[in-house]
Amino acid sequence: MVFFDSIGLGFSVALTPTNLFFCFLGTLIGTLIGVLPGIGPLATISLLIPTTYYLSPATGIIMLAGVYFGSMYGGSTTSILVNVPGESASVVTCLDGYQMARQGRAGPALGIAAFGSFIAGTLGLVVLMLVASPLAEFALKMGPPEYFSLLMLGIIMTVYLAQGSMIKALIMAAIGIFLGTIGTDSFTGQSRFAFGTLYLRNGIDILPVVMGLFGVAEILSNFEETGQTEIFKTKIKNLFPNLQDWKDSFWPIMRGSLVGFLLGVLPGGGPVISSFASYVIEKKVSRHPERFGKGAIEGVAGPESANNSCVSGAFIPLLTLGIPSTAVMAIILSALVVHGLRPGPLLLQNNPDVFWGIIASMYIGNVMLLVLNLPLIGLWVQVLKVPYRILFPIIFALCIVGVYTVNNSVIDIGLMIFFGVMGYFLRKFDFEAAPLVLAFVIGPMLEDGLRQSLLIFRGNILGFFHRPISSVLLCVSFVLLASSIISWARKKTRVYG
Amino acid sequence: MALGIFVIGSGFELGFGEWREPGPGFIVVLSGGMLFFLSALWLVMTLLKKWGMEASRRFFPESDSYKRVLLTLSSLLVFALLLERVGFMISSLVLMIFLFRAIEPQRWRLTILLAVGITVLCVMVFQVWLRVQFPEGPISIYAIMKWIR
Repeated sequence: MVFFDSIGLGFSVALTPTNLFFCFLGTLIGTLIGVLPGIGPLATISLLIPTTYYLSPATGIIMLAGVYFGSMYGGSTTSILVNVPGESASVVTCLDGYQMARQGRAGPALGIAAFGSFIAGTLGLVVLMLVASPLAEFALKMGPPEYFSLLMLGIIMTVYLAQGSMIKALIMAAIGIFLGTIGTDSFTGQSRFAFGTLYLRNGIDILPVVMGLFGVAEILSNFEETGQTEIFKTKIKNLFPNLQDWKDSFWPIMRGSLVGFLLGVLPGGGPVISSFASYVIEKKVSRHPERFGKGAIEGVAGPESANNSCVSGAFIPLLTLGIPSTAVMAIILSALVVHGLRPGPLLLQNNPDVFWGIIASMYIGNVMLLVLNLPLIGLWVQVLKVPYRILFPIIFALCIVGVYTVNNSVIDIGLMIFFGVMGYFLRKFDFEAAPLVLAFVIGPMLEDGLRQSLLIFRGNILGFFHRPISSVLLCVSFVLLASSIISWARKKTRVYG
Repeated sequence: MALGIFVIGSGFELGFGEWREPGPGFIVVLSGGMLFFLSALWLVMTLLKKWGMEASRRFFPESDSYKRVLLTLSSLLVFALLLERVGFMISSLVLMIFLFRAIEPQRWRLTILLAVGITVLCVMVFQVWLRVQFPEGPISIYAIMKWIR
């Protein structure tokens, strides 16, 4: 009964006209930025955080969650019609989605992407509703050692699942932890790396970091090559997939939902990895793997479902443990903190309206996206025709204004430019920025957990292994790290020896 | 690696503390150590790889890529310097006109239209609706609104 009361409370919050409007606005903006290459959900959510200062916490987060969901829906449109992913989670959709469009089946491809996303999003939310409350209660029993071990696992998972080199990802994580230490030490009140400035004594805000690494760096990278994206000219008809399409897509959608959800819960997973994982699984289990890459509908249904259920899954560690599993969740965490809320087990107890309101609105957002997106596909195609040379100054203007509004400070703009240049060079040398952002946000929590634990254990580091949860989490981290090192060493031996 | 050494040094200066009572520099030293060790490892691996193969791609894909990147960064820096001196409206107009003309040149009419449109939209949404305090400068939106009324 308590469960249904909570769901009822959630829908009563989500269905207020203001929250419905901002949920709609979020999904609309999300779809737009999902369609447009060059600006992803991370930069957009960062950009929108200052606008949430003027909204209630629930309304603000509802809008931001809508942006995240919307971008996943929107990204598939560009992948299918232009062969250019609107955002990175839709990269894999290009493989079969674009081929389907070339064969005159753009409609069913777009349709199954939308329906698959809706089904997966819904399934993900049902599981989120079921497990959130028990997990939050369990989390209340966790102390600093358990939190430290969990955060450690988070960083190791991020590195383990990074798309490029593991060493590079670890370097990024180390820089992120270092950047997180800038400011006042929470134990002693001592300033760290403030260089006598009042600005740095408060620590670096996450917005200039993210806007620089993802917004400015992305634009600078896009500048390097001139040229116009070609939109595949085709009549989009029959958005509703036929019976055979549904038969082919049912299990990929189910498997994609499960894989996406699990990878969303795991720290470091994220929609990009989940969509790739789903594609690989579908190709492996298929009786006709040779069809993949040539317009197989399973190659669209699975990954698109996976990236959406991943978003639902990612909210679990954030809302119940206060731990972000992806860089986007790290931004949403900072948005919650800005509103005076402490994400974690106590959020459910102290702010059940916010907790259940966000969850219920995500479901409403999914419905809105399905109802809105399919009839509006023509409009999104038109948006795609806006040349990038017209778009980039608009994105720049929004980045600057968004960053300035955080503290009304020009220093933030300077920091954004600095991180923009840094992000640009990091891309050049194939360093991923996501581990840096995640480590930057969870670094201070990691430090608190480690220092408190060492105080409890009187400096005995083996104390972490005397507590069952902490010990299991650390062992998993070591196994992951060891397996990566072993596989890397084997590869190197094969190359050099 | 240099950053790693700097971070380790600063961490010890801040106070490493002891394992039973870690100081403010404790995690700083650990992160600096990790950074130094991993950077050294990466450097060695990169050198080994370079001996084995030719550089596979150019740093800038087109001959004038670096110009566009430099122009954009300089314009952003100029914007940051101008903002508190001449206000948001003028600096935003200047930045937009520059970006629309210098990177991939647009016609003047379109440039002016877009620059004014974007600036007005930003001012209306952020300054008027969301009440963000932008530096005013000689042209104030509130003065314009008062004048219109």
